[in-house]
Amino acid sequence: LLLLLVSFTFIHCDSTRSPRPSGQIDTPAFFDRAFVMRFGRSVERVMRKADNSNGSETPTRVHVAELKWNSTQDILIISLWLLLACIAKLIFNRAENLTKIFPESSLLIALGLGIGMLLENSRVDKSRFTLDSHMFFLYLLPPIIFDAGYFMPNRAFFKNWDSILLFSVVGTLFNALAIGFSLYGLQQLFSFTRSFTTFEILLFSSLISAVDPVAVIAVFEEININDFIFVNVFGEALFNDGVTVVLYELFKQFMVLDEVLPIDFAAGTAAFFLVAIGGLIVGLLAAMFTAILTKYSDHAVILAPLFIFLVPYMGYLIAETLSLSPIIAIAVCGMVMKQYVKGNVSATAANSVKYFTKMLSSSSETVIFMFLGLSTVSTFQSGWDPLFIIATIIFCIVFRTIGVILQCLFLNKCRGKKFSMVDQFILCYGGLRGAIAFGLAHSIPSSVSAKDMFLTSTIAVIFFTVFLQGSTIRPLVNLLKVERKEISEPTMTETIYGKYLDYMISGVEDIIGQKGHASLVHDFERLNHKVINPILMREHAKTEHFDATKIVRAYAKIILRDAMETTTEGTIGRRTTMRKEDGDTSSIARKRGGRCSCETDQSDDSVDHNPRCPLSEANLEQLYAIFSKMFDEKLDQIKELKKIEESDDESDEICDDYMKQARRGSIMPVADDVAAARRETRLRQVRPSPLVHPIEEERARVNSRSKSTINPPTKFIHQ
Amino acid sequence: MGNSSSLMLRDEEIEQISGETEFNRNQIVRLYSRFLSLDKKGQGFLEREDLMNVPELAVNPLGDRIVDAFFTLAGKDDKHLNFRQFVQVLAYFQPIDKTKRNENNDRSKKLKFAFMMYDLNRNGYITREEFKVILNSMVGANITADQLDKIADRTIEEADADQDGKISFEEFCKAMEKTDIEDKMSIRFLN
Repeated sequence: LLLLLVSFTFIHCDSTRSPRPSGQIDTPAFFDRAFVMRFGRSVERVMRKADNSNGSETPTRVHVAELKWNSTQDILIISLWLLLACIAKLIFNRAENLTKIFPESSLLIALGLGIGMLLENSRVDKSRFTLDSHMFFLYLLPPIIFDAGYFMPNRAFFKNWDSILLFSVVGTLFNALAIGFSLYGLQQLFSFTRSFTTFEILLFSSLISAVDPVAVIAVFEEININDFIFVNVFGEALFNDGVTVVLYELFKQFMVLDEVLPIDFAAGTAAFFLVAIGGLIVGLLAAMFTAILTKYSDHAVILAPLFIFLVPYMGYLIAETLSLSPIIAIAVCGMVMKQYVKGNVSATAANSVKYFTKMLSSSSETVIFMFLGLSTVSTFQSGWDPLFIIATIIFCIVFRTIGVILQCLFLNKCRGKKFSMVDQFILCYGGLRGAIAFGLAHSIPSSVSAKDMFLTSTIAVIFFTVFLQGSTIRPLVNLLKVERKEISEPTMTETIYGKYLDYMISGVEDIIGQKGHASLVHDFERLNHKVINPILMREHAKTEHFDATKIVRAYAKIILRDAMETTTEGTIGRRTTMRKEDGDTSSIARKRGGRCSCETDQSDDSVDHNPRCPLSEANLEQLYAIFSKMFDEKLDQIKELKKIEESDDESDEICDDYMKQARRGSIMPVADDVAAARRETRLRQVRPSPLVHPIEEERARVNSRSKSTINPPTKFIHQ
Repeated sequence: MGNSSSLMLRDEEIEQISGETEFNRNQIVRLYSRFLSLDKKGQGFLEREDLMNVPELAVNPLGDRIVDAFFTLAGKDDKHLNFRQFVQVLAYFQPIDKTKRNENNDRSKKLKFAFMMYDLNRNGYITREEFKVILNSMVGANITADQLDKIADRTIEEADADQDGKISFEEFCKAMEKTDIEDKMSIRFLN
């Protein structure tokens, strides 16, 4: 019943209000004629009674409680929808058999389809619960694209910028034109249920040829494919919006012109550059603005995450207003902003940004897919032309394959890292269409007679790609043994040596006089540190010519992880399996398990310790005593280390205890406290501290209560 | 410039070098003209100062290490680098063609170059001190001496399998096995 109630509602609750037959109550559009279900009727009766009693003359008794449906229904409905969608997602996550075969996105579409069919039977007005493209483009899409841009692996992206650019511009253009003209040619041979002109079909083909970033994320993230392929498909999906939008608008305008002159084509080309580059510039400006705002937000720390969300969204809206590409704007903003913002906000703030972004994008995605399914039922009433649909699907696949092969042929001649046949296959197969195509199809002007046919074909193609390609891609990836993403913890080795190799290659390139990728990156880094960082990042994060903050952050992370692992270990003597990866090169893991050379009783995995071994019972007790005393001190020092390496945490502790807040006088510490804390940590930085040595020294140190440096406790246990 | 340089480099030499290193003719000619432009004094071989004079190398924190590695790997004579040796070292950086096996250029050879840069005293091991020197030149001004020590210690610990406090070449290779060396250490030489 809840489902039914919920399903009678729509997201665009600002739709027209139809007059009530009774004329008494001015209820919003939800309660129109469609409410013929018995449940709805009874609810109505209750409503009327409640409202009646408010406005009528007859004296009523005092109400114990009343139903305030009118004031809350809009937002209540939206929340119910969201809740329903998220519960559905939760259920899908637990139904592992199902998710092994079908990607989540397809399950959500199926759910929407199911609900749609339910409503179909109840004779609800269909035009009401379709995905409103206005709502879609302004509210549902930005979080997803922002999330994508913010978490884009920048390194991999810039390494592949050439292929991404080629795929998104040339590839999309080729696809659009090829599909359009083939369909037009086909029309000459067989006639479809609706006829269309050249430009109408080109309008359709331009929106159907675009790979959809939402669908790509939804499917590819689940299968954990390696960064190289992912960044190529995803980069293409993201940036082909520039081409799609231009083509779509262009052909829309061409449609109404009597004749098309060369000047119109020139205007189209100019429009493309304007849209793409304009979007880029808006994104860059938004990123810089955010960085500067976060730089100066150290006294009002809560505002920093707010800026991180608000300014890119403003960028999106501004780009949309100026008819530039909003997707490119917000994606570029996210990508560029990340490195500067990360240096300006504390780790906790960055973490909350991460969670919130993921939450927003995840819920948007869920709602989009569900509404896609929902809208299918309503739009599938007319315009069902099997021939057209099949032709479209075939052409999409064929031309994508041809496009990818040709482009990769060209790219492989010019690139170091080549696209193997398997890579190319995955690239072809990953050309998923999604909600953006649907949104665009919906906003085709109604003057186009073939609109309903286009709409159904769009839905068909989306279903085909998401269901068929989405569900078969996982077994295919396994079959073809495509390289998966390494989900391993970063080791210090990789962080440092990675940087080291970059410098080395940059140097060699300089020696041979060639400006390759590494030396360009190096040049950019120098520019970054000299010019950009001082403007956009905070004082203490400024660096000379090498950004050590990444290495220091990696180190802090690893040390904290070690410390946590050591303290959360159960029995010290047992071999730990903390590390998920087997064959981990870190010898720390080897040290932690099987620490002593005492005999292990194989049958029950217990260790019989030599009495002199530090891990025997008696010594263990003593160790624990020392350890807990040590640990308290260490914890304080770990906090200090955190303060040194990340931005001054004293100022970033947002007070969540109201009592403390009352004592302090505000949520944030007073400015003087902040300055004092900063001075303290700076002083501690300068003073060199001695390194930790064996147990006796530790004990001595504990007893004399002098400051010792932080070393992972494993060190003293080991010795 | 093109004409005069190819005159000084005889065809048989080009053939030989091409056979040894898998560079094609155009690449070798191009590298030769680069060699000549680096060899300002016209001696026919390069010295350390010639390479250090490359302006971008001066701002590269590992600049002098790279130059050292060139000379070490070149051969017996530590001070002079002739064209052949120059090209042989550069051959290490060719992209690995998985179909052909080239002894000059495979993963371990690439790693050897990287290792040479670290191993300042050429004893085949990277000690803690050597590592600290490298780290310092890369990072030095921006972190405290304390942090530098700790990071260096931690990195050595991670790679040091036999716990002798220094990293041998095998340990180095093992530590790098997760990194895509073929991709990271390859340069596309222009024709």
